[in-house]
Amino acid sequence: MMLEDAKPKSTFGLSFSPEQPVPETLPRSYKAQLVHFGGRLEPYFNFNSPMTGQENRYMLQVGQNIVVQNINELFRNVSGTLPIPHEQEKRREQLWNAVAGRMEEGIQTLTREVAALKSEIQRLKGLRSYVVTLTSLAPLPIQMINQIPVTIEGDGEDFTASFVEGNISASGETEADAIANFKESLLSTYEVLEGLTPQQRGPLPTRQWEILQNVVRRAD
Amino acid sequence: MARIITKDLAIKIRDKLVAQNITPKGAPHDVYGVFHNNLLVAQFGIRRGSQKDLGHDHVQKELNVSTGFAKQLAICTRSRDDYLRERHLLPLEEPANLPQE
Repeated sequence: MMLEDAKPKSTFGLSFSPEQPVPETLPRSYKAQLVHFGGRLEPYFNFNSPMTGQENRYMLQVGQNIVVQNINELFRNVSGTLPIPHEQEKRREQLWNAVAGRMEEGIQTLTREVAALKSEIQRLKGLRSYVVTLTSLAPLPIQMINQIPVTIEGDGEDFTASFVEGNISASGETEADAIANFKESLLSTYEVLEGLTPQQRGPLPTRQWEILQNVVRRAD
Repeated sequence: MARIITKDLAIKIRDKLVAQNITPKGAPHDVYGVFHNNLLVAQFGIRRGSQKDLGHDHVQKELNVSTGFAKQLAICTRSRDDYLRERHLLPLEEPANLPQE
């Protein structure tokens, strides 16, 4: 058989020629066809030999992978065995290890991020914000004219009590502590502003004083 | 609250704003006033106590600035003038004069 003149053609739609090497690894779909074709992982190629005009069949024995090297190798080993190239196996293993390594890194990153998110969710769950209405300023020397809405914000460890409109705020370790400090702060603010002339108050204190005069006054 | 502004930071803010002690007699907490051109611009309280990490997250509310701005005031990137500008008590900074071609 003259190899140069051979016009090989596989039964699976793959065309090989002496100039065009056979791909080293056949696609998966061909592997499936091969299994169907012979019930074994043995490629079964048909070549039309121009010398004899007859169809020649060449069987390749393969291992776990369906591997052929090139058409010349195929022809030289028609009755032999083509071993699975060791280098190819090593490369595949290296690739797989690299992929597995990247996946492991990704999983570790995700685990860290999920842990951080869990922690943040726990913190946010602990956050509380609500409004209470002060009913009394006793025993302070000022009394309420109108109710004062106080916003309490806290996370279980620290709290602030704020009269947003009056721009008065105080902190405390507990809600009660924050409210008590707020009352003191309210009194301090009132006393400081009371002691200033209008010309001494800037825009914010002027507004504060107007609002405070509407909600508290000196106790009789 | 996440205790962002501690007593330590509140004291730094006080110093940065050159705030004056205006605590009324008998008050349980110290009160500091920020003055500009003899006007009281803002006042805020600093709790008494030796703990440096005592929560002071009310300071930014009383100064009427964001938490981030208050923190920047404390850690030096913002100045007293920045605060006054933020409160519209100083004109915005003029852009730097570009060299004439």
